[in-house]
Amino acid sequence: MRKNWFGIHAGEGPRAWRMFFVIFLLIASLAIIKPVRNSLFLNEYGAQQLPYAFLLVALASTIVAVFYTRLTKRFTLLNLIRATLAISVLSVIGFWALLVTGTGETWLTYALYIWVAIFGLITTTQFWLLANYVFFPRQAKRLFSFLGAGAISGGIIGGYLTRLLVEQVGTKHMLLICVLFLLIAIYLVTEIWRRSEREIEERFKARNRQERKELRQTISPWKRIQQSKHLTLTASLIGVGVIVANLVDFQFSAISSEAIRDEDELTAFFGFWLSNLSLLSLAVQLFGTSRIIKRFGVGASLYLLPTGIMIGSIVLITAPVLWAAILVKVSDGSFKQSVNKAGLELLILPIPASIKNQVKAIIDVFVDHLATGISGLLLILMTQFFPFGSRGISLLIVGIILIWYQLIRSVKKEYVRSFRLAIEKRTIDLDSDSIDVNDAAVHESLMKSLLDKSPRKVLYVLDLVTDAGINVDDLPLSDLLANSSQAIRATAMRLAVDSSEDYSAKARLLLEQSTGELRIACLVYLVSRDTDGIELLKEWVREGDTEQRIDAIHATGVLLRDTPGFRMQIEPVSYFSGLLDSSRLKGMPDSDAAAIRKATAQAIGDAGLPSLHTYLHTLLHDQDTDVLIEAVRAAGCSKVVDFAPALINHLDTKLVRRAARDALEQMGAQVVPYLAERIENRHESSNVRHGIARVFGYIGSQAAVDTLMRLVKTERELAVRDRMIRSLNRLKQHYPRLQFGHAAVEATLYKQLDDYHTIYKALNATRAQHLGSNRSSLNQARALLARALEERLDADLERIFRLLGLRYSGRQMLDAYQGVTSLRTELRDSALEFLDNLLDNRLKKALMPILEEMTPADDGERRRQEIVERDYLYQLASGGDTWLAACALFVVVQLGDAELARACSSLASHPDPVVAETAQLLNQPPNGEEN
Amino acid sequence: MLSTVERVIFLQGIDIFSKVSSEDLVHIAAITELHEAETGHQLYREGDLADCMYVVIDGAIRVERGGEEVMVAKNGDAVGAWALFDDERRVVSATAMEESELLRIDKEDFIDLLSDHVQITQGIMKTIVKRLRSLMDAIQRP
Repeated sequence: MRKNWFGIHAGEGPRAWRMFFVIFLLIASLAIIKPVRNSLFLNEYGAQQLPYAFLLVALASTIVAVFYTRLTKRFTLLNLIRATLAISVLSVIGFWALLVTGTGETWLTYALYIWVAIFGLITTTQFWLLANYVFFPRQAKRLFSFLGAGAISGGIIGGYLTRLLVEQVGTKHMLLICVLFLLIAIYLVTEIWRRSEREIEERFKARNRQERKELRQTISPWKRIQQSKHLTLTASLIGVGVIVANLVDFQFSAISSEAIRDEDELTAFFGFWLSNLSLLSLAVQLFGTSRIIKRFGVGASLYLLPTGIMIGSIVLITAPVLWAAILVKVSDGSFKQSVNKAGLELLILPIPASIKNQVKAIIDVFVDHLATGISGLLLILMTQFFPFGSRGISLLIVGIILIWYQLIRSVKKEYVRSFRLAIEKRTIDLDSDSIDVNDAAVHESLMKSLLDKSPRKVLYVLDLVTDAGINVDDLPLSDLLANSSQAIRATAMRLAVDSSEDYSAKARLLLEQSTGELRIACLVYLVSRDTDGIELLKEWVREGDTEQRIDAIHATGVLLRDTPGFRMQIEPVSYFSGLLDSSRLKGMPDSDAAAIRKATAQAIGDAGLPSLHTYLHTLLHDQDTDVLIEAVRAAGCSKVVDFAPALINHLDTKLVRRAARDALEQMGAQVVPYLAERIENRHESSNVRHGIARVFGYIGSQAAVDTLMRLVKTERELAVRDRMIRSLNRLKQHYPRLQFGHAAVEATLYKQLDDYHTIYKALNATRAQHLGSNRSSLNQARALLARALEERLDADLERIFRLLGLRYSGRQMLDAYQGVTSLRTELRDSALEFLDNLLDNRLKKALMPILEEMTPADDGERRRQEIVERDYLYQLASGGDTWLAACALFVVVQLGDAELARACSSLASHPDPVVAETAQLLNQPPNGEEN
Repeated sequence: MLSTVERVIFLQGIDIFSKVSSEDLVHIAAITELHEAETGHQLYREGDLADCMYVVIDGAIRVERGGEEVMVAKNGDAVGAWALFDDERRVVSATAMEESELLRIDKEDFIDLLSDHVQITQGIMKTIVKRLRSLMDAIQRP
């Protein structure tokens, strides 16, 4: 796929750039408004009032967070974002007007201070929430660093703009620039929404539902944090970091406002340093973070931020001047959002994703507020009750940093322990964007795990490290090759092929002592590394015992696949021709010959050489099931569509069916025309047609959907139709970009609804005739027919909902189906209400009466719907549903109605044996009595 | 001679098949054999290898353990059904009390059938799980 320098794929550009500018404008606004706020506040009240502002920010943010959470349940995301931005614009204009006119000055700067903190919290949270819905998870992984760059550049530009303009326009008028930025942001958000409204809303609702479901099902996040030492320590670490950051902020503000008295000059100073810190943070992030974490690991890198602040604070104790305060702020600013943030993210890596998502919001929001409140209280104590001045606060910072160090030490131990546990429980997420096997602590944990006693654990870690592309020379291969588990030794020998070390002696030794996969791995190693290896391989194929020959054949397949030069050393066609030479195989016991053919089939699959496919055609007709399965697998791996007809034939062979399905699925969209041709042939066996319908569900192409949509309308065999619909559901679920065509889905749906109505009428008529519990033959026959009809109705209803799942959301329709079939009245009612609101009018008219009649109707209601029994019995007996036909015929037999019996007698030659057998009973006298 | 549909009518009354669809009972009906037992004929004894089950079509079968009557199986009842699912020996004896007509299901044929028709296995498992749930409810109830 085409992508540009920023990782933006074709078609993503407009949306990605709009999102980039939204975050740019939001952060730039913050970068303008924060210096304005700080300078106004410090000029008005001085630094001694800052602790109270911190306390109020903590309190107000908590109230707003609770209130905001409630609003998210009532309004759409767009309305929330637009309302927040619009309120922000009005608030900024209001603040500007009040500041310029000088109204309410006593409380205004306090209000502005708190408002800016809340504005920053809500708008950035909303932006990242929006980004999560605008982009698919895979896009998000790719584009979030691009959006992050938007945020950082917004911070830099906003800060410099403040410094540049504040002296010309004045501190208070800088707010109008924010208004302009926010108005543009509102326009961009509306545009983003307008272009992808439906998918954003669906994802938003789905995620809300999922979150509510998870909340109901799992224990509270607070309890999770309490129960896990790792999470408690991480939360404490974050909390201590926020307290120190606030104390540093206070120091910086207090010393700056002492040194710079002019309001505009102070605003420019804050703007300038805010930009510089953003630039510094960006530089560390780009050039330092990854190197530092790789070099020192998570634990050590977490020490950088507190150590930087500690050094600055010690300097500040000795000389409480502006440059020393700047030094502390620089340490804080450059490490906090880069190395420290990355370290904290890695710290919670071993926590399972489900728990991580649940507790992260709590840690990010509530711990932050709590710590801000604590820092406010500490500052009040330090400034009002123990007036030690700036030195005292620096001492307090140093003291807290000592606690911080202790927390890092403890959390590092917990991190390693949790990591080991995660490996044991196999909960490490390989797809996680943050796993880094080169991280020193991760690397150390993995290497230790490779020496563990549990073979399962070692094999899991080997899988993990090879998938993550770790350098083979970093692995303890000698130890692994001495492991007691043959599977571990075999894996290690396979990895040794890429090592710079020589393990030939070990390979020769193991070759003598082992069998199976280890011996194959040794043989592959020796042929790849040693010129004598090829001779040994040829000798085993020529003169070895059966097991040696089989291992040599397997090794040949692997070598042909992985070692390009090997093709020159043997002539593959004549080599495989020799292996399958019937004169050589004839001399062996049947089981040995079959094992050789099986190994050959597998080797052809591994080798992937088109010149060998001719042998695969032969093996696909082998008499031995094991050989056949291996040949089918090899044909699937080849992806050569010429094999499709043979593979489709094998859908009829019980033991080979699954392998044949897998092989056809592997071939992808190219096999669709072959499948369509065979499934359309009504004379094809049911097994084959059913198998094909299932294979379609695994081929994520529009051709597969179109073929199924065309066929499902006319398919008469219920099991095949069922499978077709299930396959369509699977395709919709796994390939959301495929088009299902509302008109086609609805046409099939209406046909299914017609079938339902027909059976429903027949069932009511049968129930009306089948009265009481009389065990006469006629009553038993009617009871069986009623049961068969009920089963059909249940299956029809499920099909209807599956088809609705193609028209609407599959997940919602599954929930609705479970609701309407539930015995719990409240669930049924909710499901009916939901469908009533969701379905379009025509569908509603057709479906709702069916669903509403599912509630037990009284007998009077039932009788009104009666139809003549003779009519529907004939209709069912001569219809396409063979089981209903047999049941209806059996009622006819017991009924003794001569005219009806004559009408049905031709069914005695029906192709279905049960229908024919039952129809033949019509010529015999009934053996039961009429009730 | 019973037709397939008639056999299905008998099979649908057996508890272990209650969650198997009537259409799938056709497959079970196909492996049933008609078996006639004279009065006093012993179908199986305690300690015998369990290799089949019976459904009474007509007549009566006395089921006893250690000489004591456990039940009398009549029309539509099944005897020895659990033999289809484990390799234990018979824990009861079954004897025809009168001339009886039975449907016999061979264990080997039944296992083969299950491997071909997963939906039958699902139906039987539903019944077993339902029984387990009721047992657990009964145990948990004070």
